[in-house]
Amino acid sequence: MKSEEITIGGIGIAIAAYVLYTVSSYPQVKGNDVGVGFFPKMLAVLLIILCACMIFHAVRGTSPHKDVQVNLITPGTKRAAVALLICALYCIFFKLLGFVIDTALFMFSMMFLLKSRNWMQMTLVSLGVSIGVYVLFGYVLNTNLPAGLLAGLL
Amino acid sequence: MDFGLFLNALGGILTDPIVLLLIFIGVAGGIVVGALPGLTATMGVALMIPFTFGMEVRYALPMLLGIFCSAVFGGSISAILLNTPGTPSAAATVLDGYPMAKKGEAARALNMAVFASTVGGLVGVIFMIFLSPQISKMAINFNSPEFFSIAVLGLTIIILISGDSMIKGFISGTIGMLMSTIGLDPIQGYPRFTFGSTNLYNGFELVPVLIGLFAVSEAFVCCESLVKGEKVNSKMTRLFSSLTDIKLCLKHVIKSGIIGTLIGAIPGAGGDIACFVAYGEAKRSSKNSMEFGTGIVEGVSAPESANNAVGGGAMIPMLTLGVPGDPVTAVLIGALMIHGIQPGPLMYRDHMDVVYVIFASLVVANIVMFFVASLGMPLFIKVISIGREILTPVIFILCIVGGFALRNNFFDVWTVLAFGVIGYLMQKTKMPISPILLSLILGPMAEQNLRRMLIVSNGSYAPLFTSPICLVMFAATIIMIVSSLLKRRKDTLGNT
Repeated sequence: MKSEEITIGGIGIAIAAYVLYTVSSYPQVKGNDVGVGFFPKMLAVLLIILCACMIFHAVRGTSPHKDVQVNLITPGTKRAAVALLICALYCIFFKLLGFVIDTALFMFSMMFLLKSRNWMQMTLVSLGVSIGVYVLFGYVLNTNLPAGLLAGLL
Repeated sequence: MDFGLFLNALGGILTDPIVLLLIFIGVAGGIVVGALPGLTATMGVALMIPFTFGMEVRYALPMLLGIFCSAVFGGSISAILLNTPGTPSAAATVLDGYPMAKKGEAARALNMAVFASTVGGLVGVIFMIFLSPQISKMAINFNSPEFFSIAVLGLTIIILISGDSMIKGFISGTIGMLMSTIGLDPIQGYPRFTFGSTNLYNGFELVPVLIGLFAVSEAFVCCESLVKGEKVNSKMTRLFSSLTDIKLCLKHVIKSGIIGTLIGAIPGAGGDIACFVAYGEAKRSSKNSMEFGTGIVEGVSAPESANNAVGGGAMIPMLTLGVPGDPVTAVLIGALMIHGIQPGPLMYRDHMDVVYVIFASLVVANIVMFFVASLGMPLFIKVISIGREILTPVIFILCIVGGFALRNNFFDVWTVLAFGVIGYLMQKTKMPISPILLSLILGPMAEQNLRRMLIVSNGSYAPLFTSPICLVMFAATIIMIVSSLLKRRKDTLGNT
């Protein structure tokens, strides 16, 4: 996990540098208060030290996870990435299509992604779940879920 | 402990069919979530929070507490039947539970798990009811330095026990603390790291963050592995444990309940530790110690009692100090905050009615769990067979709708998804997730109290080193860090 730990350490240091840069423009101390930037600045310095320690351990090979192999490109992670894409599309079309249609499509495509091939079961479960969750949240819990294309019906 | 208030709260629950129904739903939902390997109690509570948004506190809390106390028990079902603990807390139950199932005694093991979990849960709750008001009386006199030192100790403990790498735990906690500074500054009201977005003026909402970190990330992991539901054929020949089994195990159940409560009360030490300690103690003190591990009912009773008692123990620091004992109680704090209640010593002054609703709900939830688990066991066994290809998309839908339902705001939906990805990547790179959530809760407590103290003391740090409570807390923090470092060093030397 050497390269991953160095990358995480680098990201941490970059975040801390951004925090230090941003808080430098914050208003200065008022009265006895130490100022709005005091706490984030303290944490940013701590983060830099911790990330530097992690990079040091990774480079020296003394990290507890030095033997852990992280393979970010496997069939499983690719499936997780496609799931993320489907989730993003689900959120984008949430308002436009409305909850029921969007959720049924989402459920169907996710079941397909997860290797379900029983078309009848996929159709019935998709419709059942989307209508069930809509009734539960929309009518029982009074959440204002978008009706979208079914605005006249629901 | 005011018995009048307790009986009043208990009466309020028992005479309100809606509350009883919500406890029933929570308990049944908790058992289902716990029984499914890969779905944790933390995820169960996180997923159920959105269902309570529109409810009054007297309805929302009993339902959430129903899940809280039953999800840990649910883990024993898959531990006994599949040799796979549904939750980490059921890891020790596998040792004797699965051998019992192989011998054809699955029903006996499951019945004992129900009995032991109920009694253990009640032992934990009784300790909580009697101890927490006393601790809160002491804590009500705490000032800013003491609260700051409690926050530091709480964070340190959680960081130390989460994951194999202390540095990664500290990085995770520090990033969580930095995230807690997003929004309007608590003293001067100046916007920090908001990128001009009004959605960030109050910082990240806790519920979308915790749903993302604990539920969506797990759903992504489920997408990776494509686990099919396993068919389980196990007939429940009896609904309750026999009197002989109860007599045989009662002392282990009560002792393990006390062990679980005490371990649970230490922030960070969760059910997985408690169940093994209780199992070890039961084995040591039993006449049948040689038979432990071969499939005996005593070996199921001890860990099941301990892991359910942990809940009551973990609630003690959460209710009295506002410091969550484990990730589940951290999520529960988020749920309470949604309903306008801030756990901590002031809760015992300002929301005494809510405190007693919590006490009474936990008592009722444990008793309801006994009947729901005993009578509904055949159904819960079937639930294990549900395919992940159905379950995983349902989890995603509940998470996204849950994020939306909070404020009818798409910003929260994207927050859920973003934190889901962050949580997933953190799991891949062995970065612990719990410290982020706990830092988000304890970060504001640490910052506000440190700054208030510095304002009052004209910028002097002396109050941190003159208050005896602070000194005890800091000494405990240093001891924890040093002992953890020494233990890791010993482990490393042992491995080489």
